[in-house]
Amino acid sequence: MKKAWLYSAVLLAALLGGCGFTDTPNELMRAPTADGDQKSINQAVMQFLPPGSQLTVPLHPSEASAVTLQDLTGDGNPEVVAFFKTEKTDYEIGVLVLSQKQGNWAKLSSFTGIGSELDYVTFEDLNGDQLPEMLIGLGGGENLNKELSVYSITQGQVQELIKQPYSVMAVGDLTGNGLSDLALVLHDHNNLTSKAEMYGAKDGKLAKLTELPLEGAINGYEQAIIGKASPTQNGLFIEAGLGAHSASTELLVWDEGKLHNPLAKIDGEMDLTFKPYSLYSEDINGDGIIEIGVTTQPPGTDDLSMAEIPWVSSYFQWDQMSGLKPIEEHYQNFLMGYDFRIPDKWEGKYTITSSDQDPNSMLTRFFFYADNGKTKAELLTLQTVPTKEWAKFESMLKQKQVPYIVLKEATKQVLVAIQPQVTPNLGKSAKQEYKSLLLTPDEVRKHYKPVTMPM
Amino acid sequence: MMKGIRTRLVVYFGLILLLIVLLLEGLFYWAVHSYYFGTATEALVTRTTTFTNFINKYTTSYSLKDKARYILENVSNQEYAKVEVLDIDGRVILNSYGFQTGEIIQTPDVIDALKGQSGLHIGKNPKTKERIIAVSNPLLFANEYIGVLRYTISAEPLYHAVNRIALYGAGVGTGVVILAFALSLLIAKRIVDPIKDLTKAATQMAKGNFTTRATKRYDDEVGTLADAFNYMAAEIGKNEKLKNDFISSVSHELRTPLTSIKGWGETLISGGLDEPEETMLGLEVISKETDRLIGLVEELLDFSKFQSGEMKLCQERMDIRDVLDDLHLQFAIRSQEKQVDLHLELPSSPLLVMGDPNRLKQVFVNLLDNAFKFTPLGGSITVSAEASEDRAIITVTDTGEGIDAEDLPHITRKFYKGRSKQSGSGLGLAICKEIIQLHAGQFHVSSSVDHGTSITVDLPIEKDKKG
Repeated sequence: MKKAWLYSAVLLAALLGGCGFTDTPNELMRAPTADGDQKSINQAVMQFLPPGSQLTVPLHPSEASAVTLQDLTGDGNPEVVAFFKTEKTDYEIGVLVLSQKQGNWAKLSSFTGIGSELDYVTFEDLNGDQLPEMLIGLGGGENLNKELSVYSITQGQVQELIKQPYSVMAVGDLTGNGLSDLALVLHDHNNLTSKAEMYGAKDGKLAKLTELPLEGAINGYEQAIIGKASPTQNGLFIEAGLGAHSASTELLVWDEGKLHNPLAKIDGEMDLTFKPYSLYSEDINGDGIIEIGVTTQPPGTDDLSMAEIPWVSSYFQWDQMSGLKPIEEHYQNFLMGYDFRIPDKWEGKYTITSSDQDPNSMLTRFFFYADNGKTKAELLTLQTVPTKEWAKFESMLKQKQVPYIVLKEATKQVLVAIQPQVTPNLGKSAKQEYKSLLLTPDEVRKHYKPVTMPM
Repeated sequence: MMKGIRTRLVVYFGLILLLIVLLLEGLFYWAVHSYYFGTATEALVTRTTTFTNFINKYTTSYSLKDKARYILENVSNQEYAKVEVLDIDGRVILNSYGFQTGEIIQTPDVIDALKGQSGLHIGKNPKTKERIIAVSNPLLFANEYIGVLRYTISAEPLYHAVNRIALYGAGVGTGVVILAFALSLLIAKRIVDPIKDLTKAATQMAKGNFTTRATKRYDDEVGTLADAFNYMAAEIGKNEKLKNDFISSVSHELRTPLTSIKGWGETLISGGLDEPEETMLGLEVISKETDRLIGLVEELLDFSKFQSGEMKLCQERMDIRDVLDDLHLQFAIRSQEKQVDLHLELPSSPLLVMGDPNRLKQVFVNLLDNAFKFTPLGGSITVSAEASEDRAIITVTDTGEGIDAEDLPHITRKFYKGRSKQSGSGLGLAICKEIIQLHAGQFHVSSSVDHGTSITVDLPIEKDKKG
């Protein structure tokens, strides 16, 4: 028995001592094999990249990535398109296209363009040949103009179809014929001229369809999107910066082969889409139609400075004529992290005061507002409390029997909605109206959503 | 039985070792597993945390998209882990392969990271079923959590390595168990074989073959048992021989007086009763020989009483000097006839003992009878008695031929007659010893050949009731 122990001890010692027959844990660390496809594609891409190159991600649109699988040749097998920067120079962006040949990735093409950043990448069929073209926009940096190249692959060769400068661009069906169009908006900073160009399929080729001069006395363009302007018509929404922070939105619609601006400013009248602070157009209510955002000032805040005014985000839809119809109003506070949709019944009868200077207790109050401010009564308060003080604050609310609704418990702060406790001293009809404007806790929750951080 | 011990040994040893090996194997697996996963996880966590801290510290103003691009462009080419940037909903917006998969990941590490903690997850990828180790850390923008940086490695190579090492361990364990089985078989054989031998020897002895000897293989308990067995066999053999000797000697003893009785009887019948002198002689001889026969039969009866434990003593307070005085007188004639000096040395004060006077007398008669039997002409016999502390010591010393040293330990045994071919049953001294022992006394024989024999009897002194 003793001998048996001796043998086992010796064997175990040999086993433990000479761990040479297997790898150390650090040598065994490797990426999951399950994403084998992506991994092998990545390896293939890395293999064909010039030494010292790094993949780079396009700035726009948000869903674009450094490596994309896209069938550009129509053979049923996707090609790999990868974007990279080389070590040699900061002013060149490379494009690598790989295609699959007998199960292996082979280089189809590799080329570079001049530019310090990859502004825009998308794959769309613009010339109507059912094959997507590569749209690659390169830029020189912030507020500088960019250049878009459209490439197609024919017989294994990459061909540049057009090359055009732009400030902002959008791709989408603007004409309503089911094909994607390309809209380029160019601002010439020196001559203060602007134009919008439309490209699309014309006789099976990509060609300029039309162009429209735009207001040139602006600061620059920030964004362009193509989407539904009305249930029946698509439009191009262009966000233009006017001054330091003021902005306006231009809506262009397709009208019998021409671009047309139905909301064009008529001399002597106010620009309908002028906004003191920039607010991008978007489909805010999810009905599929793009709303134009305008920042508006709540009543009774004329005495405040521009920065202090609690700007309300008002969203309008084009009325298919030359006007706008109001859709929704929101009060968005990025510091407090919420987006409160103004209840429809409040419209025109409310005002807001907001104090967000003290980060420990930021406060927004909504008031019933009538008779030019002679009648003013609190409807709702939104307040943020630091998480570590929340327990104390909550017990205080409970003690005072204040009705409150917790909207968001984040790691750093708690957002709470506090409802008024006492009915204010108002006239009889005003009191009735005030009461009708009060919200139930459910309504408060329904109108709240967390604000989306800029991506 | 033999099979039983072997089987039990093998099973017990095997089971104990199997248990120990299993336990050690379990511990071994646990240790290797902890080492591999601990090391790998720690390395991954360190790297992820460092990189996340770096990103959070130096790219504070970058949006998540910009952070993702920065991460992709700055991840080492040698990075073996898969790096992913997730948005606040857990959607992959970029991985280190350059893809935006849009896949939503909701593993515990990501959920922890979205709560602002560093998350670690070892488990299966819910889609691919591959076992992974994932570490997630929150990405910050203006002190808000806007996304997650996640490192993933495959746990399969680690499991593979751990299992392989555990398999080696199991192999060694199996070897040890097999070795233990073999060794226990060997050990069982070493234990069982001597017992087998012993059993064989015992069977032979039971059949009456007392010359058989069990072999002693090892100097252990079984070896001692074999020795004891052999000793027992030797003793039985000796006893057997003694018994046979006794029967032949007793037959002889009985035949001698019977022959002379029969001789004289026939002489008397044939010669008639004409000569009264001769007739008287014949009748005297017949009577004497009959006495001898009676004495012999008495001895045998006594012996059988001792044997069956029926001997009863009629004890009383007595002075041992009286017995010895009587004997002195009784043997005076014999001493004159044989020309042997008989001295009696007695103390002046009484030597009181508790004893059966007849039995004690029988003892000393026997001793003196023997002494006369073996003391040649002109020798001397001394009977002395003295008190030593609380013992009365009576010694019978002769100047006879003595007893061989090798016979000395055996002379008080039944039927033992030593080398002397003197007549007698061989029971005399055995009976003496039994009687003395019944009196709580001691019987001691010392002798040297050609110089004489000294037999000492010591008995407890009965204290005077007054003293």
